[in-house]
Amino acid sequence: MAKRRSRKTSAATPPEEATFVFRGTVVQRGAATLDEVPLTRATLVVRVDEILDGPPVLAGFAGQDITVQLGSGQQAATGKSYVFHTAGWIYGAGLAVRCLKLTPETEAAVRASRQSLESAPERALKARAARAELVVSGRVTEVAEAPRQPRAPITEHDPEWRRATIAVDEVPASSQRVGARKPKQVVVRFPSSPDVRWAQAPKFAVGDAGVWFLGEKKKTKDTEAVRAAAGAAKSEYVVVSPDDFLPGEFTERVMSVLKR
Amino acid sequence: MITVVNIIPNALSGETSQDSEPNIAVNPSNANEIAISAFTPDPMGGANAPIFVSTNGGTSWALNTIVPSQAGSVTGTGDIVPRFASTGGHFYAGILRQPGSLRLNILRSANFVSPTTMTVLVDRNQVDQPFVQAMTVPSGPDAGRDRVYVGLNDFAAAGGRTATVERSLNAAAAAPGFTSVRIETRGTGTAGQNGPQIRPAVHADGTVYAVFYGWRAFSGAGLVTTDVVVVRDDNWGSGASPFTALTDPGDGLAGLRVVTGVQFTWNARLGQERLGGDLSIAVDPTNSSIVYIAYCDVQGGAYTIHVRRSTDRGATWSADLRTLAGAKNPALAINAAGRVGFAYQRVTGAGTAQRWETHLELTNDAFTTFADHVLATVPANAPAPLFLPYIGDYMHMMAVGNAFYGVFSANNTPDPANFPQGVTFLRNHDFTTNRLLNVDGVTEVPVSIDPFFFKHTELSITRLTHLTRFTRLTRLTPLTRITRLTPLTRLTLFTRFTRLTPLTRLTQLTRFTQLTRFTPITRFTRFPPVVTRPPGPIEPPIEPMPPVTPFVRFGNTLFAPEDLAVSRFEELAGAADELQAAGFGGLHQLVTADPHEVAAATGYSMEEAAQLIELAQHLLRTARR
Repeated sequence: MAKRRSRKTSAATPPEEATFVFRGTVVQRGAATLDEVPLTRATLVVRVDEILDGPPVLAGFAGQDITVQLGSGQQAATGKSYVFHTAGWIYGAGLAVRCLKLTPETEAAVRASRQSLESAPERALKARAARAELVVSGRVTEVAEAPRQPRAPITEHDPEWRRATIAVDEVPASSQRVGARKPKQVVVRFPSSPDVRWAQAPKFAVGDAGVWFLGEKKKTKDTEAVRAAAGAAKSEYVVVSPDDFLPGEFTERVMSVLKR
Repeated sequence: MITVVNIIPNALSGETSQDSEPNIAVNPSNANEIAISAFTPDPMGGANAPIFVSTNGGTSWALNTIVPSQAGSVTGTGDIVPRFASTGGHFYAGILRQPGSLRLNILRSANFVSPTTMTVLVDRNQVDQPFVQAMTVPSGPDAGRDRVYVGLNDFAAAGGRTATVERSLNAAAAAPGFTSVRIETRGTGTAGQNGPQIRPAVHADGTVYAVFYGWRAFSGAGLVTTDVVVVRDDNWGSGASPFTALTDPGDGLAGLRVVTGVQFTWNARLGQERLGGDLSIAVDPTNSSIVYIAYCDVQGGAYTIHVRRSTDRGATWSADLRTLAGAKNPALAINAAGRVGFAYQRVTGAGTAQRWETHLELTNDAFTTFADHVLATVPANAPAPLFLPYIGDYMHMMAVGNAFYGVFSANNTPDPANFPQGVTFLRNHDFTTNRLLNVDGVTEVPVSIDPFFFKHTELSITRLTHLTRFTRLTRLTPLTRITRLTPLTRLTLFTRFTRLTPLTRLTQLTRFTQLTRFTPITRFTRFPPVVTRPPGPIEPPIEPMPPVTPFVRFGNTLFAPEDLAVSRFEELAGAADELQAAGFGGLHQLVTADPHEVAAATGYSMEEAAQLIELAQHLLRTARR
């Protein structure tokens, strides 16, 4: 499940941009684990004691030394342990990250960070649902080729639009408009192309089940351009983002979150 | 000497992305500075896409996330091509930006290793395959200005003539202007557009070429019928009618049709890769009249690369100099000596034995003869594609000085047998078990597609074949072959290898002159006066034992070991450090070594090791004479 965090942060929650959160111990100040880093007093070598959150590709750094560049006003002492909320910086012979926030490692701070990180997917889910025009659970009953748009360019990035019809099982109350009936089915357009441009877009086949987060309440130039390119009718939705669909195994959990 | 490096940094040993469609930019004013792009995501899902950067000539690499993109993108960015200006260090890129619909961004950075996000110079939609070239004006009133040319397929162009060069004549300015120059002058028929590949090439004298597919028809089944068209401008593309210097004698229109009516099928497959046309172009830096192109079509059912050449500024073209079936991704470059490099990727074998081979061919005589170096031969059936392009719709190579620099993407199985020229992996690996390992050095990582940097540099070989009266010899080494000494030749240092002839004028032997058994005495030799002892008893002197002088015997010649040190031979200067470090400090050690032993100890490829040994044998034979 894609993680997207709320913009609101408290002392306990990590900054939205923090993508690598870990417990670490400062090994050395004014030093780095890779040559590309310009050394300052705010440059630290930190041993990663435990990764609390981060991309799988960096999971192997648990127990290893990395470079942390402190931000303005941040201070850390050699030998002390902290919870570091960081973002990526340099990936070379070693790893260097920029520190967005650090808190001394106390039991309470670690617990608060864990709780915040564990609830991040739920927050992201609620945020996506709040932005969506409609959220439905259901199953794909039909997939058909969408007619090619007149004067659509020939390009290797052609989305190869398809129409998927979804039989709707449920619409969470939070997504139901007052007085509106639950739709029996919805039609979505999605890019079936394997091209790099559409690599992340969900692709559907008959029988696929899950939860769809459809449309954006707030229209932007980009969302309208994609709708136009897809040739979507007013009643149809366009699905291009991995955040727009969660597959069947998540349905029960997602719907229970959205009902809260 | 060929170097091949898997550029995934050690910190990303755990990555399994499909880092395809690589491109490379080498800073012409400092070839240690190199940038490589690929479909590589920001490892932490940040809003910028990364480029790979090296500041030591490609030995080590790091990611610098400076390309504006979309948070969470698994491919980094859309199409991307980077280039450096030839002086001043400005770094440019053309990308299809995410999110967006064929959204062109032309980007600039004053320092490619700075963490600052690149500045957006152009931002508009409905564009495909931006391909950047850059050159700084070397002299004249515009000296120091960066010319930037972006070949692109602009679907907003009128009349279906979409082939375009986006041009800036002063791209380093605070707010540079870019102009869209339409370069198609003919109708595009049922296609209603040109092909996506529009490739410019720039010469320092202001000559700018571009090659593109002039599509003429596109059938419902995806059959493309096309011309291959070359346009040229002789003044940086700056005039009122840019890129119209070449007219086709057939129809009198601008743009010379090198071939007409060739065909290929859009979105067909080669291995696990898609097809849709391939073009490359290179202009000779020593002579802007010489230009090479490579294009692809289908011949006898096989997707085929053709290489052709013009020596008259594109007015006429050769027949095929190279024709390669089952191949794509041609990349041409010409170095400062006029040597042509031609890299490409080709599928060989069938079924589970199918492989992608990456080749580098080098020629000094327009492919009458050429050297073919296989850079990689890797399984074509693994890994499964995550998206297309699998390895890239194109790759790139360029020359700086006499060196060729390139990049290709391929299956990253760490098996030395897959890389005949040798290979360096920066990410953790085990060459014995052919496994990739995570940063912990233990956990196995699945095979994926990685970018591989390659570099070809010349071994320095200098031979003196002819001395004239103007030749001043300032240092003679055992390897100097003197073929003719004249009365005007000034010899400043004699060695045991100096051969004197009746024509050599020796002006004076002094008491300091040491005659050795190698010094021939001629009738012209004048000896210094003999000093005689005074009369009296002779007491035998007590002398210490003479030191044992080590020597190396080669045939009937004795050499002092230091005379055979590899560091003394200019011909081996480029490799002397590695050879000494590997225990081959003398010619005599190198000539008797096994190529496998030298390759293993130095990191050179087998071919290079064999070349070094052969060179050492030649030098030693020459020294004996």
